[in-house]
Order: sequence, then C-alpha cells, then structure tokens
Amino acid sequence: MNGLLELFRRRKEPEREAPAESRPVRFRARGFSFLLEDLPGGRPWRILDLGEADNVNLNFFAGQGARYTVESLYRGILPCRRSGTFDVDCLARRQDFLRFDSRTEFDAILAWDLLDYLPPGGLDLVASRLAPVAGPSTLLYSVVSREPKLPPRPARCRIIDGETVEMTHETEVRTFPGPRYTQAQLDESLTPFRVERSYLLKIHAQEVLLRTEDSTGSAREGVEEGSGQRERHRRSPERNFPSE
Amino acid sequence: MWNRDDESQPQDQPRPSSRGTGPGTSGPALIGPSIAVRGKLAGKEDLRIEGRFEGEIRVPGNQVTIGRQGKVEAEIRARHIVVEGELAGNLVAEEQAVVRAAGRVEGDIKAPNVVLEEGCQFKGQIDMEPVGKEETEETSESSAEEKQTDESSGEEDAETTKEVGGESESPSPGSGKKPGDSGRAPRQGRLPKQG
Repeated sequence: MNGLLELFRRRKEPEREAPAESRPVRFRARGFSFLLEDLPGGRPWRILDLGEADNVNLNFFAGQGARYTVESLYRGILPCRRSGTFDVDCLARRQDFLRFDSRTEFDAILAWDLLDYLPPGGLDLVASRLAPVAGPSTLLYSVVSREPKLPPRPARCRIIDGETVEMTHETEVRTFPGPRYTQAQLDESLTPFRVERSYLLKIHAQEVLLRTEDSTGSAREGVEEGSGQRERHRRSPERNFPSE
Repeated sequence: MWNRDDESQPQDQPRPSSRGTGPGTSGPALIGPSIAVRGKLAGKEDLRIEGRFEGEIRVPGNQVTIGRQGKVEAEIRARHIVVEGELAGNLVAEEQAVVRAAGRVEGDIKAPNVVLEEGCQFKGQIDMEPVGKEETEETSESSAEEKQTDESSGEEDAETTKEVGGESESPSPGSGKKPGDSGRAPRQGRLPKQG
C-alpha cells in the first residue's frame, strides 16, 4: 500500500529542477591591490563601501586602521525595483539614495559589481551623488561584467587579502540584463571619475579603477620604477577594455 | 502553529515589565514589547530592550541588547552592545558591538571590536578604536522618563518615571528638553561629518 502511495505521489509531483547553487569565485584583484597601494599614508584611510555590511571586509580595513563606512547602494535601488518602476527617475526621486554629508570626503569608494545593477542612466546619478564625497584624488573601484545576463542580485564581495577578492552570487541563474559598460560610457557618465586602470578577469568581467580628475586635469608625477618604490601614479594608465 | 514572537524570546527572559531587576540579580533589566520609553536612561546593570526607546542610554560597564522586537532611536554607550532589532543612532562600546543577522543599524559604531553578522543591515561609519571608559561615562547626571503605552489598545497610560538599577532618577517632564538632547542627536539617515 505504501509503495502504491509513493508511486502515486511521484506521478503527481514531478521532480522539480533544483536551483543552481552559487559558488564563490576568487580572482586576483590587481586593481584592488593597486587601490590599496595608492591610498594616502600618514592618516587613517577613509573607505566608503557601497556593498552590504560584511565582517570580513570590515576586519580587513580595521586592520589597516581605516575609517570604514557602509552605505548599501543596492538597498537604495531595491524600492524602485520592487515597485516595478526601475528607472533612473525613480532613483533620483529617492532622497535617501546615496545622500551624504557634504563635508565627508573619502579616499576610496568600493562599488564592487553594483554599477551593473543600476537602471539605464544610473551611472550619471551615482556619479552626481558621489561627487560631493570625492576628494581631489578619490579612487573608485568596481568590477563590471562582460556578460549579457547577470544573476538577479549583486554578488557578495569579500576581500580575501590585498590581492584577492571573492565574489559569491546567491544563484547561478542569470536573468538580469548586463549593461556591459564600455570605457567611454564609464568615463562619460561617472564624471568626475575617470578610468585609470582596468584589468580583464577570467570570470568574464573587468576590474576598473577610477580616480577623480585633478583640478588641473593633469596627471600627477609618478615615481620612477626601480627607485625603490613602485610607480604609484598614472603616468601610463593601464586600460584593457575590449574594442568598443 | 505557535506564536513565533514567543519563540523568539529566550525562555529564561523575565516577563515584559517596566521594572528593572536590581544590580546583582540574574537577568537584565527589560523594556518589554508593549513599552515605549522616551528620555535618558542610565544605570549599572545589563539592559534588554524588546519595546521602543527614544533618547539616550548610558550603562557603562554593562551590556545593552536590542532584542528582535526592539525599535530604538538613541545614542547608546555601554561596555557591550548587541543589536538584534532596529536601531537608529550611534553606538559607543567599550568592548564590543555586535549587529546580529536580523539586526538593522543606521548610525555610527565606535568600538574596539565590531561584529557584523551576515545578513545584517548596517548603514554608517565604523571606527574600531579603543574606547575609553570615560567616553561611556561622560555624565553622572542622568534621567529617565518612561511613557508606558498599551499598544494593543492604543491607549497611553500616564507618564511614569523609571529608575534603572537604582542608579538614577531625574525626570524632567515639561523641561522643554527634547528626547536625546545630549549634544548629539541620534542619526537620521545621514552620514557623519568627518574631521
């Protein structure tokens, strides 16, 4: 009897396809490594993390004596996504979306993969909201995907060490349209930031390190390689974007 | 089947009550789920908030826990601070500040040790520097003003005063001082100014 019931149940309930499990992906983060080297010395770094609050990242920066601020960009986007009006106008109307005290000035802003999850035109809005907290040489770090489809939510990004970052998506399912930004788009839309370095990754993404432009518009004098210090400033920006 | 709210409370918790347990007793002073308090609260014993609190809390050398049902708008100074519910305001902890997975904090944290559990919501700045005890004991003057609210009926009882741990009591109804007026108002969704 029990066997019959089991057979009946199996017929009634066909096996559901199990959702693909996410798995952490680690990559050598040369852009992030460069960011760390280029942060100012002599005082605590001021870091703005636009990702979710994460104890690993907190401890990493706490270990460096940094002042670490968290402001989740994605949580600012969520109300618009949920309301079904996922456009830049909806975001712009939100007074709490990336609003900062005008006197705050960060040395580095970590945007992780969050720029990929903005609505069309969202880069300009983000840039305008970040501009007041950007100093003359603030670095903006991001990882932009080359994929046409992305998982529905941003990855959890963790700093493993100064050269390694780990990204974990909740699911492998890809439903969100990837914007596949070009360098020109980033340069144009993220003013006052400009792409200074970018590194292609094996995970079909690209690390991008942007910096606010000097008020003079000129590149700062770099330190010659071989003089005991690594060349730290942008004498010859590394830009590895695919042909646009 | 069972009331989940009941499940979320540890079995050894005292019944919701506005009465704090005295120093040296086993459980923390409790602000229960149906209680709303406005004002300054100071004392020398552990405190657990499952209700609403607005103002300022100073319990140097002791622990403050905002339980899952707790909703707090306050600046908190204590030895150890745990947030399982909602908090809008700055935290200064002598030893450790913990934001549990279900916790939501909008404010700055200053503590030598900070734990952000996965899934928690945090918005603000973290400064992991040693906190001097004087920073949590800035004032000996303290007051507590409690407003008990029967939320189920929507009726408010008369305002009563509250003494926590037998430490202090100097309510100032009608003094014109707003809740949380301690020189630093609780944060309201803005990042702090940095020096």
